[in-house]
Amino acid sequence: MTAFLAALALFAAGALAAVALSSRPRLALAAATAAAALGCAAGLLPALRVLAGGPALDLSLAWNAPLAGFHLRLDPLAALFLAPLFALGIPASLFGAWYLRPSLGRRGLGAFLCAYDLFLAALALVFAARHAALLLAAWEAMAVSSFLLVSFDHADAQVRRAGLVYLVASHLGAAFLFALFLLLGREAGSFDLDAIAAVRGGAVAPALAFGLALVGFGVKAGLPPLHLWLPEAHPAAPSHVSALMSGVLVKAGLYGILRVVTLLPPAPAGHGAVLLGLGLAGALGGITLALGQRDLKRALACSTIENVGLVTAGLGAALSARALGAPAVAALAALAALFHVWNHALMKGLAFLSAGAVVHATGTRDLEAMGGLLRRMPAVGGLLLAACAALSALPPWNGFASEWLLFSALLRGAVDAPGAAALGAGLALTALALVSGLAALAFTRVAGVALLGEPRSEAARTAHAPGAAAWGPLLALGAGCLALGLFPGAALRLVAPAAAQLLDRPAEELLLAAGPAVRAGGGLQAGVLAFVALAGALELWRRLRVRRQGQVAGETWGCGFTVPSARVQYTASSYAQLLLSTVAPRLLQPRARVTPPQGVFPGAARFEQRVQDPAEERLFGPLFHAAARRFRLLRGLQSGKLNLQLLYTLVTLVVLVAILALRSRP
Amino acid sequence: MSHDLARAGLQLALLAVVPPLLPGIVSRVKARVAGRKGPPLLQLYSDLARLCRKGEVKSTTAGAAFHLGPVVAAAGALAAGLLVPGPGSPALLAFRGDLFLLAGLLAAGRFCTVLSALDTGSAFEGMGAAREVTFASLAEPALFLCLLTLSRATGELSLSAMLGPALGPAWALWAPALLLCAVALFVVALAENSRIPVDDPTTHLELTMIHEVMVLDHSGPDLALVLYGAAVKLYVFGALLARLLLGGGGQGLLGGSLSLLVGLALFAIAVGLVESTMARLRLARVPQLLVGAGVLSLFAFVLLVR
Repeated sequence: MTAFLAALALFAAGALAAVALSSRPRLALAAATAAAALGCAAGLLPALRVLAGGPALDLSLAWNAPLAGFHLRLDPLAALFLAPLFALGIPASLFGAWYLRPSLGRRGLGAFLCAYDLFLAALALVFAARHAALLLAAWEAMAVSSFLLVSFDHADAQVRRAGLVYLVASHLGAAFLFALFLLLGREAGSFDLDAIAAVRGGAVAPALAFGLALVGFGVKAGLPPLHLWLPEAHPAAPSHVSALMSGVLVKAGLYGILRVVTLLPPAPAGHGAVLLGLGLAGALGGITLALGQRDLKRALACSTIENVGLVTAGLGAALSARALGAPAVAALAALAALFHVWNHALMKGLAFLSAGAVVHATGTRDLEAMGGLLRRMPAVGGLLLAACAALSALPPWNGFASEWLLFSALLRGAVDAPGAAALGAGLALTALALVSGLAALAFTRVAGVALLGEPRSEAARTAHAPGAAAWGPLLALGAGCLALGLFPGAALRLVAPAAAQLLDRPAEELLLAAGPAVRAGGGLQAGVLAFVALAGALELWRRLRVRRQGQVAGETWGCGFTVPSARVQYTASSYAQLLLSTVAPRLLQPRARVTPPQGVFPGAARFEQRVQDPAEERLFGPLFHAAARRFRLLRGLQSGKLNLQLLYTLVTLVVLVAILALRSRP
Repeated sequence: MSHDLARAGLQLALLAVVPPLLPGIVSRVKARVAGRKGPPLLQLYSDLARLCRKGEVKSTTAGAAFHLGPVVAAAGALAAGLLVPGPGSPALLAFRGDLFLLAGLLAAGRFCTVLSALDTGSAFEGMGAAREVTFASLAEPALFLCLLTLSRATGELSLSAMLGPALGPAWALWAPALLLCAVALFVVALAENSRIPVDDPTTHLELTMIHEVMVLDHSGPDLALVLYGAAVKLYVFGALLARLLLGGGGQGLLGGSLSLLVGLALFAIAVGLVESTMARLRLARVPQLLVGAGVLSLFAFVLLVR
């Protein structure tokens, strides 16, 4: 526990130093970065120790405030989420130090750095808090600090809008959480989570508590249709913040749902089915949205919705299977989902950081203005390519390992279960197969359009590779992605205790159910290693041949087209067009405005298209506009005149006193 | 022990040597149906040997990603071949859930082929790449549903087991479902291997091509790897279908090898016949075909769950 407290203290010290040194930005940046990276390193140790089978760490301090309590506990479930926070926090902070260097002269950098360190501390507290008041306080601190981080480029109107959407979404979600914990706490007579867990929710209807948690935490997790803030806020933030938001902050929502599940009586199959359905909807919707984005970081943000959907689907399958009495399926699905939490943190961290380096080099996030970057920045480009392969769930990367587990879980469910459950598992499996196919489409699109071919703009033509300071952290993340993909068995061993806590069964048993395939030397590992070895051998053979027989350079064959230029390349929009126009449901199709070339001597033609999120267009847009119209009626009350405001205060006081007087009468 | 070694050696040899025969059979069948004599059966072997001896032309646009495609696609197909049950015996590598590794390896190959195509900066190759992944994303659910149905019918979770001894009793019980499943798997095999009616591997009209247009710029050893990888992929699907339809394959090494080879030849002939008698579908029809294959196997699955 000392190490964890040291981490918190380091974050706090970093935050203070950032503010104190704000007049000397270079020093502030160094101090905040060092504190963040050191704090993460310090925190990583206890988290891993708990996961490696060490005892849960507990700390309870007196906190002299009504209803409050300072109680921390690092149990496996908390440690499972703390580990990616700290593991991703180190490279993200170091990358941030490089990324923010051009902003050194800017006002507000000190505040930004302070918010960054506070953000890390708040996240760590969210996962470790064992008291509802502390959890909610940390939750709100996390929301506010991340809002400040998102709004770093607040001169940009779009960033301001993103920040506002994020803040509103956060607070609407938090309202549900307050209701949830008030209910649970009243029932248990204390807001300590131990007390709440002891009464298992008491007389609170589990469906109500689950529903409140699903909405409240689901906003942060980006479950559909509450994911609206996600594609807005992620791209607006600086890249290392996007990496942490996507890798860890979003997972805080999942953590919350899981934590509440452990506080309630064992979830009925229906709850699992709801999670499974939401997860599948999120996965399919998210990846389809990603297909339509021209903005590199926005596409990555949409893929976060997809990956959270995969995790949610896995958790749903696990809860359903446990309720239906299929322990092997439950074990596999829970391991898959929690393992995917780690994998997604690593690969999306890699994706956002390398995308950040790309954006840094080209000065744009528009895919159509990139192209040919792999030749200009091979190290960073290669790592972004690796992240795309991992996100498409391809061997030998880590995304494949967890997706394989998830597929195996559903396969076993579909083979063993009777009737409707088998059908459900089979359909879920099919939907996930579609998701992984679409992910390949989305990420070949991102990688192909941004990194390959001819540069599509002057900025891309003159882009230059960043120095080692930028790609050092990337390299570490890439190595992590590869390691977890090649040796998933070792990582699963660490994930198992948390899954065991979730399912209330010993970790050893879960690992046994996962089958020998993923263990060291198991079939899956052997297959993936064979693939890597074969590819290596073939590459070697090819190189030897080419060296002996020579290589001639020539133009790309243009099929008789003699003046090739970057503009004839397939664009990001055309790449996804076939799928979006022939297969995707109407709701998800992009709106296109086309002015075709006309007449014998055609003049200029125009093509414009925009992807609209159906949740925004059909649900929240109308809802918020209607609410705004109603609230406009109240605007008259807010005249801004002091005497009127005083009158309101007086009237309120009188009413309150009257109520009290009435109630105290016998 | 020595028997095991011989078995493994035979499986590897079959996987390495037989694949280029299949495209030869296909084109021979097509030629015969069209009333031509056709190229020799072993044409692809000599093509491969010649390509291996050639130098290569590389586009000035292309970079490091250009070579990924041929190498990874061939390696992925070969590694997938390790998971396919051998003659009268399980695969060299068999474990529960190996079907997903098979799909993943093929997907990795496709991913890299697509990146290679995009690296040339050619509009045509970009178009082919987009079509390839779009159709693959629809073929994947159909493939998974097929294998899922097989798995449910036999109660087994690995390819070797579900296409092994458990298959006989499953045919006795669930013949209609397995037949539907085989049809769907055949359609998926045609799509995954860029065959008519999804793609035309022989046309040289760029606008109608998918796979071929992606590999236009490869030459020399690269092209050899592309052709070889494609043949291995055809072998993988052929072997799966042969095992499924021949009910687990013959007994012993010799019987098993014979039944595998006969099954592969029949598969190649069937592909050739389909290619001779059908035209390529319009592009917008292809998704319907693939979704249709998925629905067929879903129907088969529902028959089993009932």
